[in-house]
Amino acid sequence: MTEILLFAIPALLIILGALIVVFAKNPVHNAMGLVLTLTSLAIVYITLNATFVAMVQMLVYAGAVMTLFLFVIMMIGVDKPDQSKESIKGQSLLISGTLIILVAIVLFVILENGLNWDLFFPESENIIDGTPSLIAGVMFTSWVLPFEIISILLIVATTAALALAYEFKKSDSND
Amino acid sequence: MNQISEAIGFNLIVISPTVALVITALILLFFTITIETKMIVKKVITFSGILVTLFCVFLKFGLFSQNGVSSYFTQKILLDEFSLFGNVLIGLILFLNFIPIWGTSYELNEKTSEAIILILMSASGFFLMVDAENLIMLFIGLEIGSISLYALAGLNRRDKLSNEASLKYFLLGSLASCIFIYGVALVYVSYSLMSVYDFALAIAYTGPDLIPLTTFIGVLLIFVGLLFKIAAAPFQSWAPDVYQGSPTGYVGYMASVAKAASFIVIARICMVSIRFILEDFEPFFFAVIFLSVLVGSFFASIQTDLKRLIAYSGVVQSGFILSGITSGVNGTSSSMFYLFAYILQLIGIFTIFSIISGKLSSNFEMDNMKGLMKNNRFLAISFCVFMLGLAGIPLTSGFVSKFILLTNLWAYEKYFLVSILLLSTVVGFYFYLKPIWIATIEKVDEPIETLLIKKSEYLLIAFLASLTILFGLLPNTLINISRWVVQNYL
Repeated sequence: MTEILLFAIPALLIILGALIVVFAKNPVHNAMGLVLTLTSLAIVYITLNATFVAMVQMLVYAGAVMTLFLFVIMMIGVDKPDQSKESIKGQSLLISGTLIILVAIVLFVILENGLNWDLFFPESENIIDGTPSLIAGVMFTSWVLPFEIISILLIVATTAALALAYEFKKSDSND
Repeated sequence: MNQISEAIGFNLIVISPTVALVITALILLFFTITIETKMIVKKVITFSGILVTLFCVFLKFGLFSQNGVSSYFTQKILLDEFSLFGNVLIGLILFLNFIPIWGTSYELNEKTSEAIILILMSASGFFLMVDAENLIMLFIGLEIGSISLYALAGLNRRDKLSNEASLKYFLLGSLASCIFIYGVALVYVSYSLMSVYDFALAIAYTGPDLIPLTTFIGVLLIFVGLLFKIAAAPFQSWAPDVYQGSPTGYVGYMASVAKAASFIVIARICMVSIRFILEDFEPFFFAVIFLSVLVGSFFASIQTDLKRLIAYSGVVQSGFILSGITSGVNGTSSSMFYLFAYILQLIGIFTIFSIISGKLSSNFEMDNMKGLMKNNRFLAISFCVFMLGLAGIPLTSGFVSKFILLTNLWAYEKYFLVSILLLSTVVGFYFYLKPIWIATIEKVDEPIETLLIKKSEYLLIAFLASLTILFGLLPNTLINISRWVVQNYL
């Protein structure tokens, strides 16, 4: 019973958050709905024994990506009227078509196998721990070089962004 | 501590070129943000950093003669003939491009150091890319290199074409990287390994009939990601815009370094990883080569902008090099020769362009070449040498590389491919000779401004032009080197 509850409550929250993202008029509410979805997803990850992924989910998505979203909303301004016109031709048709196909696939699977819970929660004999210590053990021995090299990638990205974005005022007036 | 570093195969020499370049870049970064430093000091630091890098490549040869083909950092970094050849090639590209790169960066005024840092970092990334045994390592190297190049294309903020080039390169390049990493994931799904060497063993162990479909799709997607970087059709659409928009002084470096690294990696994957199933990919490669030659030749013939013309000619040349790499050992060795000769000509041509049109300029119409013969005889003649080399006229390295490649393909009984490539060479004569005609023979009425050329630029162009002719007359050394690269697979 606890297992089902532990799954059901976050799952419902995920769907609730997703609905808020789609239907809320205020962009800030949309963003908060997304936070709800991402956080609940992290809880689901914890129940699946993937604690590291859950933490990354919280740090990267709920933390960094959402802050970025809020920054963008802040810069654009909340009181802009929302545009209901589609920017790409046939956008809504494409999306609804994809949705119909997706629902059809899910229905097909359910009709073929019956509403079988084992399909959604396969019984696993050997549970793999996604604990941070296990990942650190690999990351700091056999994967230490790629791990360190990524720091160069970060420096490159920062330098590139600065070099592109930074412009002296004096040179602007020459145009 | 010692035991751990021994267990993971820690070896500083094998990554020393990367480390040297990164340290040089960090020193430059430090000077840029803290102490006001004179330009000449920065120049000395950069140049000595590049020299140290070349010395580190030399050290790697010592390690190779000691250990032979070996892998380090628990199968992340590989030391074999391909990686050594790639190291030499990238080191050479960096060294030869130093003069145009410094001149261009100097004109950027406040962004000089940033530009140099980006270039050094991108070279370090491509060093890692050719050294990588693990596909994740390869991806990280590719990204370090590419991200710097995306920014380099758009450094001239005041030029709209430069902005466009940077954005286009960034968006399409990120898409290609996504496709590449998706392919890596699919390969990992099929065999749960990412080492290019173990991959071949796994395929041999499974047997050709039981190879999962995900492997084929994965390898195909990896190739799509890499073919994008070498601008082979149908993944070539970024190349002309990026070549045209980027600051002219950087294009020689950007074009040659990405191509060199990607070709080395493609060659290693073809020769090592998928050597047992290479025939299954033949239709795919044939389509790519055919399209590259066709699209490149057609669009190169109708260009009026010289940088775009060179970009489309690069598409054709990619088709040539690819046809050798995908056909076998001798083909790969002739492709390595081709790659070396082609890159020297490419650097020379873009150095000349950057002198004539200005280092930061984007457009370079063919009419700019008018009266070059009267203006500066040396530039005109060396321009002719490089163009004739690209076209494949005898007495240049271009002819020797095309000749070796086509004879090898003929020996593999790929008659249709040979005839297509020969036809494209004939079409090539048209679009390569047209700029030469404009530069040397066509009459000009207006008075001509004299070009300002530094002594170092004279020296660089003379060196590259003499190499182009030297490898055309005495190709034996380079042939031996290119055969040495594939000696293990003969």
